[in-house]
Amino acid sequence: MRRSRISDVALLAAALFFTLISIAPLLWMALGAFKTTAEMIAIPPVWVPDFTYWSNFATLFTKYWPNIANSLIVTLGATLLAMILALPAAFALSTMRVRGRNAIADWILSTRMMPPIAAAAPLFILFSAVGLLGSLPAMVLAYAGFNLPFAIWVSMSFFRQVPKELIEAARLEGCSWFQVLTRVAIPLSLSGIATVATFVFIFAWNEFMLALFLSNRGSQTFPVVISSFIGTGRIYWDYIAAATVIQCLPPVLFAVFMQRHIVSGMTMGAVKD
Amino acid sequence: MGAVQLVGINKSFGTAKVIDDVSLDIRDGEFIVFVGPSGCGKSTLLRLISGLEEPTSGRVLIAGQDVTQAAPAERQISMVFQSYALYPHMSVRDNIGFGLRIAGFSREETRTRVDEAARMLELTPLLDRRPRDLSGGQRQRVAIGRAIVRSPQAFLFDEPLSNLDAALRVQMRMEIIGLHQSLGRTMIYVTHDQVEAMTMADRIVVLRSGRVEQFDTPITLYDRPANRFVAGFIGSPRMNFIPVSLSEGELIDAGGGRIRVEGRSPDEMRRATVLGVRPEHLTYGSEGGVWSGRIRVLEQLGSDAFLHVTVDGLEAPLVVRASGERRLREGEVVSLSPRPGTVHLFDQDDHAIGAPDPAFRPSRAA
Repeated sequence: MRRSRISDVALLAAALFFTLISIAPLLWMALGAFKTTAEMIAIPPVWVPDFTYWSNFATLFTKYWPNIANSLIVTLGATLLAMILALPAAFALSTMRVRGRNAIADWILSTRMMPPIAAAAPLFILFSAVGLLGSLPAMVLAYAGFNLPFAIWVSMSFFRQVPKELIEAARLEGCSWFQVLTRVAIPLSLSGIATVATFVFIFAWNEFMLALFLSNRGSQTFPVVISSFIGTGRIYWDYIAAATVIQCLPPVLFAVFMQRHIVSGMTMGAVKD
Repeated sequence: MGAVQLVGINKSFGTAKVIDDVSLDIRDGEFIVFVGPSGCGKSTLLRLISGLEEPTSGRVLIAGQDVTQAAPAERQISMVFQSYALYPHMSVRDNIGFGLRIAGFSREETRTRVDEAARMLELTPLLDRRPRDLSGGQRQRVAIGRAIVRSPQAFLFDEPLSNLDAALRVQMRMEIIGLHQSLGRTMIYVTHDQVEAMTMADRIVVLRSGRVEQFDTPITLYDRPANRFVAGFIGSPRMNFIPVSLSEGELIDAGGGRIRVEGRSPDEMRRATVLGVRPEHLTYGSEGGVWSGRIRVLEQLGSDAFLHVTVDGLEAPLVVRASGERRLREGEVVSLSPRPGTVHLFDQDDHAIGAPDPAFRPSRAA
C-alpha cells in the first residue's frame, strides 16, 4: 500500500515535470501577449506581465480583422466542404459493394502522401487560369481537397462501426442510400464526424504554405499575417505572441464545442451487446 | 398474396458456392422454417428472398411477381434480425414508425398504426423509451412491431430468438406463433434450433451445404426422413446408426443383433447398409433384446434419462430415451430392442430406403 502510494506520487511528479516542459513555450507565449517588445527581450526576464496591457490584441484586431475573418471563412468553408464530400464517399466505400472499392480507397489515401507544397505550383497555375487565384474560394477548394483523404479514411472507420443490420433494416424499410446515410449512419457516427471535422478545422486554420502561395493582399489568412511580423529589420515579438494566442483560440473553442457532440454509448441497445 | 417461389437459385461468393440450385414453393400464409447446421446457407437463402443479396442465377417470385432484380424495399417484405437492428437514436415509437414515415405516411396515420402494433405487442407503455432502456425480449418485440406495422406480404425472421434466454425464447416462440395465426401472413423463419423448427413450422426446409435435403411437414421429417442427414438432424438425441452386415428375407443383421424389418422388398433389404433407430424407439430390459451392452453414461433429466450404452462391435454407443427411469445406474448391463415398425434403412449413398416421401423434392434435379 505504502509502496504503491510512493510510486503514484513519483509518477505524478514526473508527469507534472514533463507537462511543464511541454507547455512552457506556450505559457511564455501567452505571457508575452501582455508585454511590449522591450519586456519580451528584457534580462532578467519579466516573469509576470501587466495583465491590463491589451494594446497588442487591440492593434491586431483593429488592423488585421479582415485577415482573421478570411481565416475563419476559409477554415469553416473548407471544413464544411470536406465533410459534405467526405461523408457520402466514406459511406459508399465502407458500406456499398462497389467493384474495386479497396483500390479506390487506397488511391484516395495515396493522394495524402504527396506533401501539399508539391501541389502549390500546379494549383497556382490552375487557379490563375480559371481566375480564382487570390480568392477565398480557391483556398477553400484547396484545403478541402487536401483534407478529403484524411476525412474519408477516418469517416470510413466510423461508418464501419455502424452495425450492418441497421443499414440493411433501413434499406428494407424503403430508405434510399442517401436516406440511410442521413437518417441512420450519420446520427450513429456523430462522435466520429465531430472528431474528423475538428481535425480538418485545425488543419485548415493553421495552414500556412499554401495560403502564402494562393492568397493576395486582400485574401491573406492570419498565419500569413503572423509570418509578416518577422521583418528584415525588426521582429515584432509582442505582436507575434498576441497573434499566436489569437491563432490558438479557435481550434480550442471548436474542439470544446465538438466535445459536446461526442456522446458515448450512442449505439447502446442497437444490437445485442 | 404472399406466396414465395424460388426457382433454381444459385449463389456464389467468389469461388465458394453457398446456395446450390434451390427451388422452393412456399404457399401464401404458410409458416416455413429453414433449418440446418451452421454455414448451410439458410440465412443466405433468407437474404436472397429479402433482396439484401442478389442470386448468381435463378429467380425469386413474391406474390407471383418476379422480384429477382427488385430492391429490398420494393418486395413488400419485412425482416426481423437476430440482433434486433433497432435504431438506437430513436424512441420505440420512431423505430416502429420509421418505415411508414419513409414510405410517406402522414403523421396521424403513422401514429395510429404504431399505436395499434404497440397494443398488439404490449409495447404501449414503452413507446417513448430508447432501445437501450429495454430488455432483450422487449427489443425483439419492438423489432417485430416494426415488421408488422408495414403490413408486408411476407415476414422474414433471421434467428430472432437466439439472443434470448431459454425461458424468454419459449414465450416469444408462442407469441410469434400467435402472431402468425392472427395475421395469417407468410412467415419464413431461420433457426438452427430444431425445437423451434418442429414446434413452429407448417413445413420445414432442411438445408445442408446450400442444398435442400428435405422440404416437408415436421412430422414427415421425423417419421420419414429422406436421408441419413435429415434422420440425424431432426430429433434429439439424434438417431442411432448401426452398420448392416447381412440381410436375408425380412431379417437384417446389424451390430451383432438380428432384427425383423417388415414392409420392404427383397431388393430394398439387399441395398441396406445402415440401420437407423431413434433413442425413443429403443426398448430396454435386463435380457432378451437384440443388442446387449453396459450403460457408460446416464444423463438424468427427470422426465427422461438418456442411456448411452456401449455395445460390443459398435463404434458409437447406442442412446436410449428411458422415460421416467429411476432404477438404472451407470455400469449396469441392459438389453435393447427396436420397437416394431420404427426402424429406418439407408443405402450406401445415405438415402432412405422404403420410406416413400411424396412431398420430398431434392434441390438438385436428377
